[in-house]
Amino acid sequence: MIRARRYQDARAQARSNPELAWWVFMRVSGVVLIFLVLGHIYMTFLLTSELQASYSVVVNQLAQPVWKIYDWLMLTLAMLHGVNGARYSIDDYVQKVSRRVWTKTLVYGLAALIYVLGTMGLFIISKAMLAG
Amino acid sequence: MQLKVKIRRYDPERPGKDRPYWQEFAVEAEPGDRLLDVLNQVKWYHDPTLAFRRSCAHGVCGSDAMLINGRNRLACKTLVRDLGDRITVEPIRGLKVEKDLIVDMEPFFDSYRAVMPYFVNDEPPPAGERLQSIEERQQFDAGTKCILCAACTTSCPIFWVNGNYLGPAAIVQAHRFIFDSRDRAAATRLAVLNQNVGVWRCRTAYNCTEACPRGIPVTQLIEEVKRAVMFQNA
Amino acid sequence: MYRAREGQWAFALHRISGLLILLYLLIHVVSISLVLFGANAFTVLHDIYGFWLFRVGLIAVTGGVLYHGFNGLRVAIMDFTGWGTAVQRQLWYGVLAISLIGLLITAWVVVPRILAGH
Repeated sequence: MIRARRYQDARAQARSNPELAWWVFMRVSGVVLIFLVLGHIYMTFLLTSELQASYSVVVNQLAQPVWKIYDWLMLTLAMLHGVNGARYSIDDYVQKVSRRVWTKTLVYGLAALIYVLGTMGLFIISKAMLAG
Repeated sequence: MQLKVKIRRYDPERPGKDRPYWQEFAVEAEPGDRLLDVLNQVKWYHDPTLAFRRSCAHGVCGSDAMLINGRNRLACKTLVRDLGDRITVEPIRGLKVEKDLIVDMEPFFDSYRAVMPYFVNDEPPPAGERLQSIEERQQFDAGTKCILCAACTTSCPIFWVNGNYLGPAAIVQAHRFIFDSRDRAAATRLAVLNQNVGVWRCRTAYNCTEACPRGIPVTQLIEEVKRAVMFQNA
Repeated sequence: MYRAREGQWAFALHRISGLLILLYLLIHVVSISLVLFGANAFTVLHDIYGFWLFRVGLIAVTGGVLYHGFNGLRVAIMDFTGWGTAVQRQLWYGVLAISLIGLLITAWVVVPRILAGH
């Protein structure tokens, strides 16, 4: 927060931060995600009914390396893009510092947990799981 | 024509009624009258306690920005015939109301000062003038029209909820000097604006551009500053 | 309510759709990850999602993704080109048209399936 009466104050308070990098990332990842997500929706929701995605169908598909990579790339970009978007919203709307810290901790923590779960899922899945 | 003017009032010293409230006045006006004339009529003939800022009354001093019929405008540049016969007037949003339509402009001017809104050049002055081509002058022409009325900053949905955001007006003022070929402090200004309270809080909602009574394409200037920050750091 | 023009509504819709998509993403990843806990765990939840209301919800998610994605392109065009801000209003109507058409196509494909229950 800059509250400066003279430009020396403003200069002292101005420091570099990763906002520029995030700003560029949001646009680049967004463009990539349009293709990945719309492709994902088209293949799993329009071409076939989502009801067909039974246990064996999901395991069979995600056992193939090409879908592991596709889904993991989509998961990673979407998580970073989404959580950074949530951070923008929290910074905009949650003004009380203590509440902001708690909100961010909760959102980041939950997202990180689910990201780890999803990543583990993608890399553990193999056709052997259908044998049982 | 007969007008019904609803005004958002607030007086911290009014006993027992120190909360904002609406008050309606019936005023007779010509379609060609400005809203400022209507407010003067209210103040002079209906209720002398009504408080609002105005100075030049010709759209140059930037004192009388208000939220008129749901949009930020200058009362002295808004004609009654463009508003209809039911008019609501509120103080501009996001700044603390001091009385009726008067808000505390200090945070707004703090942001203005933070971008060094003055010419910086430590080189020895040339014998003649610091010459500039027409194209160089054109680059920052839009920003020179700003009258610091705060109509843009207080129309911004981000500024309403996050008063730390420097706001469109400060960025427009920074743009005016960053893109001036004679100025030498662009890097410092860009460093100030390259923060999460600077240009990166802008969500391109265009309320500022719509609100500007001087027709400055505010959002476009902010985007130019974002690109300047990006190229400077590239 | 501030009586703003298109830009403000474009921003508001972008933010709301973005937050809802994030919420859906989190739930979706958890649901699919249930394969780790065996066929039973996965199938129980999969059957619950077969309820028609959830399936209609997926159509809405598709519409939200279309809007957020194409409005994001609009934002990127405004950010990285000199001419984007001048045509932002036209771009937004284009975004709305694409989202609406995509939503209708999705509904056209999915609604008969929901009615038939497969």
